[in-house]
Amino acid sequence: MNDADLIARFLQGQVTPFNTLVWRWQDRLFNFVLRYVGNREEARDLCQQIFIRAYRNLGNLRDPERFSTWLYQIALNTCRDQQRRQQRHPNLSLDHFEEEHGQPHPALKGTASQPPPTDARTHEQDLRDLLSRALQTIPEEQRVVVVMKEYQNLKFTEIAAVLETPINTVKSRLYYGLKGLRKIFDQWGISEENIGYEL
Amino acid sequence: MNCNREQLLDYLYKELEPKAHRALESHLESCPDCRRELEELGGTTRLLRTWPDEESHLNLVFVAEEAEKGKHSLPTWLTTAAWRRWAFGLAGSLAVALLLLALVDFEFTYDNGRLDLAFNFVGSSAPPAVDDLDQPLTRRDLLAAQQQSLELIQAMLQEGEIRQQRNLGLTLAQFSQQLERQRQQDLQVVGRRLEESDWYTESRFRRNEDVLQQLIPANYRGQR
Repeated sequence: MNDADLIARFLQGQVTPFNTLVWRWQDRLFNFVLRYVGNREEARDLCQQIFIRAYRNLGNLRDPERFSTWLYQIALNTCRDQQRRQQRHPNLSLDHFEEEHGQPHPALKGTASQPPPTDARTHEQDLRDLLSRALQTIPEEQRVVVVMKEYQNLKFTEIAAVLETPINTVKSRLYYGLKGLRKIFDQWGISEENIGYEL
Repeated sequence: MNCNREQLLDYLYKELEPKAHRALESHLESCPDCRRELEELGGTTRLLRTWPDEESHLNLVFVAEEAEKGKHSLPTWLTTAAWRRWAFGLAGSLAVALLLLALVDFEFTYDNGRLDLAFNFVGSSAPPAVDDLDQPLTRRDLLAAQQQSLELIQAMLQEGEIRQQRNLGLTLAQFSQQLERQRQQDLQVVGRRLEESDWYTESRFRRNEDVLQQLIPANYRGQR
């Protein structure tokens, strides 16, 4: 049964088809949000909010065939709302110390603005954290496209539909996003060679 | 064909039409700048893909809205604290009274101007109350709920299988990439060793040649 069939049954008053949709999409959506925000707990909370929004608004979806685009749009809006809230009410962090005092907090020495440790025996979890941090360094509009392309395997046309942006703009953002990431990887000394045998 | 960044990205993500794909491949053969650009972009994407997908562990289940509403809604006149206390007190007293009456099996009859009150303790021969589950409507609801649960479990199982297959595919692809990377690195090592060995052998030959030249007397060389 495809998404459109499940939506039709949900709109007839059954809840189970929506739970099936949740099951079908939860991992995919979680991985999208995780790469976007870079924090697992926050990503889980956001996913719950996304599905609740979807549950409440599914009746407004005119074309059930566009469900995936619609769901990604909800996900993106939810993530952006969260970021705006955080910008309005920022949590005090050790990173904030550097902005105030012009130098990193002693607890962050060697980790904040310095390249992270990248010896030849980089652990897989460390590598994920590094990639997550690297993704947070590029502009948001580029990060969205990189995540959608690299981790969600969406086609350029699909990304353009979600973002309601021309395809060439999507490609341009992806290009500069990848360039920015390459620069960060070079600065941090991360290359395929020094992680090759680890993976 | 000119250098085109957008087409390079289409090529990298395999979104070019076969004809355009071939045209770009022939362009790449003659354009070192595009080759370098492609290699750099490809290297960045390969690094990004070393972060595999993770399990969400969301455990999110939605229930019918009517049930939720029934659970939480209260009449508006019960919203003030004093009224609420009073109402809950009255309801509690009534409940206790009803419970006591039920326990003593209270019976009240009025016949021809005569009022009779009778009390009996638990264990009387009164017929048992009809079980709600025997009502046809409730049973239908129960069956529908069971059916929905069954469908959800089936859907979960199907999704689980699909996810497992996808994970297996991803793992195999990663393993294959890793194997290929390792093979190339090994080939590079072997190539370097062969070059070193070649150089070493050649230098030994040259040294032997020099020694031989020194050993052969100059006049003999001249006669030859």
